Amino acid sequence: MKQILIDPITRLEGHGKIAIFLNDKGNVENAYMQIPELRGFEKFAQGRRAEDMPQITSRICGVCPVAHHFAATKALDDAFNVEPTLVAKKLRELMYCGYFIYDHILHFYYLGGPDFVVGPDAPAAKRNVLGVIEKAGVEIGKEVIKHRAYGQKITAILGGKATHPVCGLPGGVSKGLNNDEVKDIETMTKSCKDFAIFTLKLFDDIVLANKDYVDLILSDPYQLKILNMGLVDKNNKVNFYDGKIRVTDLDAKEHVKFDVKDYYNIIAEHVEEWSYIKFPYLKSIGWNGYKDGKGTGLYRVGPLGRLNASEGMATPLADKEFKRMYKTLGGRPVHSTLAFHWARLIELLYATERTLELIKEPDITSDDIRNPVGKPGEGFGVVEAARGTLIHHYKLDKDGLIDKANLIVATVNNAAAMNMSIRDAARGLIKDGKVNDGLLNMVEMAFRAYDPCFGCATHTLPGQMPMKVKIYNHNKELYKTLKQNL
Amino acid sequence: MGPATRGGCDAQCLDANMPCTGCHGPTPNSLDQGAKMMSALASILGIEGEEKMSDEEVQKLIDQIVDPVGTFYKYGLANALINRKVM
Repeated sequence: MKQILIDPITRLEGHGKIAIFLNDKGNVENAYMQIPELRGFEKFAQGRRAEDMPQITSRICGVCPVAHHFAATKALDDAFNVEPTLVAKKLRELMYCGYFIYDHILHFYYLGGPDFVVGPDAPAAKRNVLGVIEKAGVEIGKEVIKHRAYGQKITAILGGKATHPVCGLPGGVSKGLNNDEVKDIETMTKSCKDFAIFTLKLFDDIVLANKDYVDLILSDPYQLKILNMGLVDKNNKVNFYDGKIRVTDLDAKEHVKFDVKDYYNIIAEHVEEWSYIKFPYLKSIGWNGYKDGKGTGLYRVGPLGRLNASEGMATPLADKEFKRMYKTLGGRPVHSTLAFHWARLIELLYATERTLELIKEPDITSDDIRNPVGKPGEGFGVVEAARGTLIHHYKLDKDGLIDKANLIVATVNNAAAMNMSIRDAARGLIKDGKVNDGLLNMVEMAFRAYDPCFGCATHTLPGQMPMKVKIYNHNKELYKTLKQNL
Repeated sequence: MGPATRGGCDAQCLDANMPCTGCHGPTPNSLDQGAKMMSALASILGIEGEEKMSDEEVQKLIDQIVDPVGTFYKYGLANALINRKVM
């Protein structure tokens, strides 16, 4: 049996590798996406002050710190038995939308988009943001950088810092907004909204107007028929910051809708010896292996998961785009992995529209931003990270120190889905042992659509660390190889 | 943690109405940031009635710091006197 290794995989957050196994005929027997890194945040959070968690967990990731910041803050609201003020909730959601603006721009133009803009089998050295700028022009490149920075600035105005915000406190936030800041945010967001509309148009022109790309999106290797999960508001519309977790089935019907407090009863995790990542599935259906179609208990999160799990977007322009996407791709739910990119851009537009709504709220400059906390206990928090549903769960001791922390991170929810997506792409694309850089990149496109963050995802200590130690003698010749759990 | 750690951040956290946690780490001149900060706090803690306090009252003051290692070495523990990385 021959093994093809893509190591490291590129244009993602964190580290990973793909191992593809070919049979004697040169066709793909199986493929695995492995995550060979380990973080361990749940362990070293123990004994820390609970109110430090929004700042500690935001260090898990430099890309979606705001998601961890507010998942932690919401878990603290619950753990300290306090309801944040209405103004605080609005400010948090406002900042959260700023984070979605920069994160989604980052993925489309820097990580996932180059495969479409420059082409899936373009030379590797061109498949990046510089290739995009070369193709789309320097002026557009400047706009990309400017609007990503606007998203960062909006989070910095509210959060104190862009990358590791500090404003989240149980019961509210530490800082309100003044009129000048409101004006700044409004000006930047209006520009971001135009840029989101431009980006959707760009997607139309480059991807949807190209029959090869549309065929690729709808082609078999990139279909994955599993369930979908996302946060929804009371009208079952997508919401990033708050709401109930909704799971829809293969016919886009509601399978279950639950409060984050019940996650333990709904979600279970399967463990494999070949990866540090865990594989969640729905308890009600059970673990049935890496199979899609009828009877699967697996689900997807992230932009496409959210749109599939909802009934629409809560803002007008984004909702129009939502309807257009489903009309174009044949109705809800869409099972094409590459449609994640389109869904992401619709969410980008929603984030800008929602920011403009929130900034116009009459009490947005109020200083009623925090309620006093109660006694420490147990708390659950959920938000939609850009890449999917993120849950923080803490148990506090009587002094308000962390006794136990559990994080179910967005990318973890997609672990099984990504593994199946790269397997199916490899099986569909690699035939008779013929393989080249372009084909392998198309295998990578199957995971890249999910915008995974493995820095976030591998956070638990499995107990047995797989390890290989090579000992060399003074002539630098291999003397002995020691192995453990391998 | 400002008095014991490096600045250069334009006091972003203080501007957001939050305390400094020392994310830029110790200055080149300080051997141990945690000891420096404890020393800074000790010189102001209970400054008005320290001499008349009983041991229990002093203990009560100190107990307000529930997570000393996490507080004083939040970003600097990897290179500190306390774990003999700095001697």
